[in-house]
Amino acid sequence: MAQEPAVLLITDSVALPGSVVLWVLQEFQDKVANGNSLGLVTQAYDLGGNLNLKPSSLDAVISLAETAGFHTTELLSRIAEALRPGGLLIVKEPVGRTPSLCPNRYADLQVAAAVQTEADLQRNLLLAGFIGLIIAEPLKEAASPGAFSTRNSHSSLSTPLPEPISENIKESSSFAALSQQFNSDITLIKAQKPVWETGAVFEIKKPVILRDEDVRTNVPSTISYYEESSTEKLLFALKENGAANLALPNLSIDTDDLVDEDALLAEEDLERPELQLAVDDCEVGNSGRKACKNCTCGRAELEENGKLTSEQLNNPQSACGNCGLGDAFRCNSCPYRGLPQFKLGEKITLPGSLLMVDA
Amino acid sequence: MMMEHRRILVLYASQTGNAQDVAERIGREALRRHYHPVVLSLSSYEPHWLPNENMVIFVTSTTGQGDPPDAFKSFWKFMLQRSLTNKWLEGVQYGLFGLGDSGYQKYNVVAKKLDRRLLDLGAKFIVLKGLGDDQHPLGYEAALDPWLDSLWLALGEHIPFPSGFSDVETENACLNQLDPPKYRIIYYPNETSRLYGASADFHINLRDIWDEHEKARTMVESASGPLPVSLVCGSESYGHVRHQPIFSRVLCNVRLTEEDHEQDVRHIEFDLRGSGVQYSPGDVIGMMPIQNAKTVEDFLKRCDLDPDVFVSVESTGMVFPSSGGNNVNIGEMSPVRIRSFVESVMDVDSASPRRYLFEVMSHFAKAEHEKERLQYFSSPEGRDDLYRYNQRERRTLLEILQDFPSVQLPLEWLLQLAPRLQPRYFSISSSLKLHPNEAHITVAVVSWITPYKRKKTGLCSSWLSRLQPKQDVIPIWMTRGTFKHPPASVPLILVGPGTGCAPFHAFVEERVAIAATEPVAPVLFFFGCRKQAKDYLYKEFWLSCTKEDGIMSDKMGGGFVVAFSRDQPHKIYVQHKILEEREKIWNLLSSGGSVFVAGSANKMPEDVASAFKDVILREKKCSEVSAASFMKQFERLGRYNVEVWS
Repeated sequence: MAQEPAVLLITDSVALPGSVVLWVLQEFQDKVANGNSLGLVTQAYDLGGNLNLKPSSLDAVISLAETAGFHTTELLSRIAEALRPGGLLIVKEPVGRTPSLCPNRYADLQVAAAVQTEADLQRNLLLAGFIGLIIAEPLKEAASPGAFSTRNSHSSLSTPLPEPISENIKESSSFAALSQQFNSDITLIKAQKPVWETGAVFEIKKPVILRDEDVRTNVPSTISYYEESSTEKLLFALKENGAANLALPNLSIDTDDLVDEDALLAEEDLERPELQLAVDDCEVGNSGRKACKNCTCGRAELEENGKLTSEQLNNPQSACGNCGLGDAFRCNSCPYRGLPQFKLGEKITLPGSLLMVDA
Repeated sequence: MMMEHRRILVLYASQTGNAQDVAERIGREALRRHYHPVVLSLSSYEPHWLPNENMVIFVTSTTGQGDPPDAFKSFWKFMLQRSLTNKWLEGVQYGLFGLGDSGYQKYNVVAKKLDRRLLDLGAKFIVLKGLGDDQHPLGYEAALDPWLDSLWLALGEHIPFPSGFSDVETENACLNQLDPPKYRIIYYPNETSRLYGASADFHINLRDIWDEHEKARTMVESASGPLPVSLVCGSESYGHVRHQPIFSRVLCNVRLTEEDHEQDVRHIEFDLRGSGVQYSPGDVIGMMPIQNAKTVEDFLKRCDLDPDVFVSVESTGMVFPSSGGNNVNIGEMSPVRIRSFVESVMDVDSASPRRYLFEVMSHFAKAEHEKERLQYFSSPEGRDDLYRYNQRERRTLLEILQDFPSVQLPLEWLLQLAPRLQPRYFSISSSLKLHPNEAHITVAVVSWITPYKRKKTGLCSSWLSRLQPKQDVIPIWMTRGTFKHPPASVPLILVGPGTGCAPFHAFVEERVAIAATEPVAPVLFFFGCRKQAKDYLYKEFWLSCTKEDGIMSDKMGGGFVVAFSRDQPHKIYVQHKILEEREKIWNLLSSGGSVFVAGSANKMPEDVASAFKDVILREKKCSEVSAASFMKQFERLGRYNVEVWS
């Protein structure tokens, strides 16, 4: 019967318990109906990674390995190729906690396999193009040895694990022994091939840019265009992976592709501060600053007090002692403001640049 | 590296040096608090390195028209790219301080836009943005001081102190210690003035002096940090830049305003023969003012400097590690006399220095009362008094040193703390077509009385007013202004009260020359001054263009409207006249006209813009919002141009 398998069961052991096969049949019964069969491959390590399968022909693959490191990127890629878009993959493999080599159960068969960690396995799956990984891991306080819970690599959903498989694990006491002995765990991962086929192309649409009404001709001229922006995706990907985060230097910046800077400002940005001007601080004008007729700020008083008499010019005295030191030391209401330094008692000569008369 | 997490990147975009001052102050205070600041101009920082930073402090300034400094422009262009995602700056923390002037409509917009954009790109601020305001009585420092306090607090939380240092200790240390200076002076006692003896040829002397000044300037600039953008790529110019000026003879120097008028406005003509330089209407002349010889002497004496000693200046590099300047190889730059540094780099008797001068001076004061007073001025409590003494009085470096006679600052500190002597720019008011080989400028001599009744004058304008025609030769260079005179077929609406009429004098002269052979579009010019009899600049010229088929004549669709503000009890300004002429304006605008506004700052540009918006509102009969977006569109299309100066 030349029937094409729709579901493939791979294992590297010599035989599988019947319960596993039955479970698969049940689980994927809709796929295995209609003349499609379930394929079974045992002793898969012999294949050397060669699966003679048509691309996009399988709905699901269940691969149960007892050899560590069985699921290489290459094998996984072959499986991915064989799967239809949206197809399912369940992978079981013993993994090491630490990425170190530990003796292989089949060492005598000279199957060289470096034990990989769960992270390695995940990575291989990702590199092969699988998405939506759901990982099963051993429960910490196991009611029954070999009991598993699942975790999704992106969320904390837990789904019940197919019974027969966990039983299968349970039954392989050798696995338990192995894991204890060699510090390894068994992991079960469910993955899915993306819904699109490799090589698919689709566009990312960009929003339309409108120009303002043309003033002179009163005809609105609009320019709209679509763009692909691969740079954006690349940058985002780089950031996600924590790689060196360099924006690609744009040597020639397309002036049409700039954000409108005026659009950056909101209404409130155009406001200006209401300055509470200090009481005595009017702009210095050409004619200098005189007190107004109905002065309210006290400048008039200051000027009255500040006017120098000729007596003060001829015989300058200073109660505070600072007046003669110069403007830097004089107080605000000092009558000698603006005058150069002088010695007490000595007549002050006014420099030509000074205006004593109210201009 | 272990200390990398204490690295703080301080990026500044500075036009006049204020933002750089602020950035350097942040760097100094960061050093004292045991951070590792790297202070860089944005012009020498690649924006695509930003995502790698942990902590960045931005210091930006906004010019009058809402424009960013030149150093900011290419950085900003990169930042605006649509292709940058909202996660591009994830993990980057920042603080932002903007310097602006709320007297202008677009107050601090550069800082506001940058803040928004950084947030959009995924960065997070550790303090709210600080906005410094020149209009505030105490200037931007009023906002800077409290912002800095909150910055250090926030940084203390995000980047904790290394063990062994306490917060209190560091705060105290900040007050007491003197920072390392930025520059190192190397003395050459054996160098003699072999080049600078008196020469019979007057012109060779001028060139030699200029060369020496340029050498001094370049040496200091390259020791200060990355070369400022204006030196590197320059504003557009015609080959004649500051480094290769034209030595131009003054042809005439005439006072335009009446003798009894309070303001002295000069018309000065320069000879360009032999230079081969070409300019267009709207361009600008640049020059370095010459400081008064007596003040320079007084300064040299006061600071106990021997003017004829040769020195060279380099960066100590100790101040901001890994950002230190473009150290020019000493061997390449021959030493320069101290006199040249004082004359051409340090503004000794015009600009006011910053608060940091007083702080440093306090460390060098020998008299106790002076030391106390200087410390008081540098403290937050003394800020108001410092403002009254220093900024409001326009106290100069020389005056301050004279007021504190016991302070003797070493040369490297003088260089660091003296305000940098700045070039001045004047709009060219002539057209080559009518005056070949000449360039004219219109200069108002700046003078005012300070609150303490001291008379002050502008350094450059008063120097220019004293130039002797046919005798004096000064180095000048040409550079592009903001205005570009449109082709003769474009109708013009010009608004230029006072000396704002200078570039328009050039525009109109140009058109008059073209009109001899081709048809030109009309010009509507709004001029303003105080009194018709006193300061009606270029009256005959404007009136001549209104006659017959002149380009400003009614017949040709143009016009000339003057607002005399003080000839009647109530004030009449150009904006009032603009509204009166709305029909004509609308006609010209509808036939493709462009608007140019120039003059002194204050409220004029704003009031004029508002008047134009009103014109649009009434003539187009549309809504307020619609008129505003019309104006915006005009600006974007280059049909509404403003150039103001203060």
